[in-house]
Amino acid sequence: MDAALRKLTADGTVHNLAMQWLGADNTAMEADENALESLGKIPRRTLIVGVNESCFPLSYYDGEAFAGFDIALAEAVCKELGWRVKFQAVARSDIYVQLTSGNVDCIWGGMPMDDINLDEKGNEKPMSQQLAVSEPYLENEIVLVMRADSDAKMNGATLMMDSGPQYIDALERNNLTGRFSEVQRVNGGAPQCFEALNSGQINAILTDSVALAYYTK
Amino acid sequence: MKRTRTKSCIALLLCLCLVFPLFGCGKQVGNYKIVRTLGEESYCIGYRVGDQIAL
Repeated sequence: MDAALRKLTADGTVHNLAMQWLGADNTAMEADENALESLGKIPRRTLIVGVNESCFPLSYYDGEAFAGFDIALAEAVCKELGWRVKFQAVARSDIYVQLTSGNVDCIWGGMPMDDINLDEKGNEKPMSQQLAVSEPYLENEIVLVMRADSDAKMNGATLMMDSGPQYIDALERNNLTGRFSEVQRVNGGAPQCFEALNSGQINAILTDSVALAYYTK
Repeated sequence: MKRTRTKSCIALLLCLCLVFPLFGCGKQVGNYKIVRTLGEESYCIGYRVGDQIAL
């Protein structure tokens, strides 16, 4: 897969998908036009990809199928390798179990893995409990966003965020939980948050910079 | 000399007046403004250790 990604970076596929889904190409993948040549014959298979189904615009379920930047890129990689691809929703907290049990072959789609090999105290897990993690291919920031024409101040504002644990963690890490008059956690991801913000239902949202890039492209 | 210094002070004050309202507004991106950045994360692909599909 790494070789296919290098080839797709070299031929511009990654750039085109980034522009389509993210409005800018902030990807960090190495390019190598000949990367697949060293692999020899690649056996056919079906790749089962575990994805976060509410990480718009990287990976999300639109009611009929999975879509997003990561989904499109995984499909392009599998096409390059001659593989079939299936997507399966995986909760962030279940990554290790889903991979090691063989339910999925890889985790790819809206899944930051900065701390995947760390225990609850921040120490490195034993080697037998660790996962292999690729080099980062995309950086994201968790950002507090308001409408540009809003006069509301952060103190006392109403806030909406997705129910993913990374958002409430970020709020707590920055000691901001008590600053808002109301905090709503929703299951609709970035689309629901931006809709509420645009309609004036809410003063502020906590979201991903990749989602903000999509809505401002 | 004194007049030049006065003009410099006025120019500096005008610059500060222009810049101060921008503090606290955050960075504007299209129709939105980023009030604060609360964290950073890296998206990666996770595999089983030693799995050949990663190559």
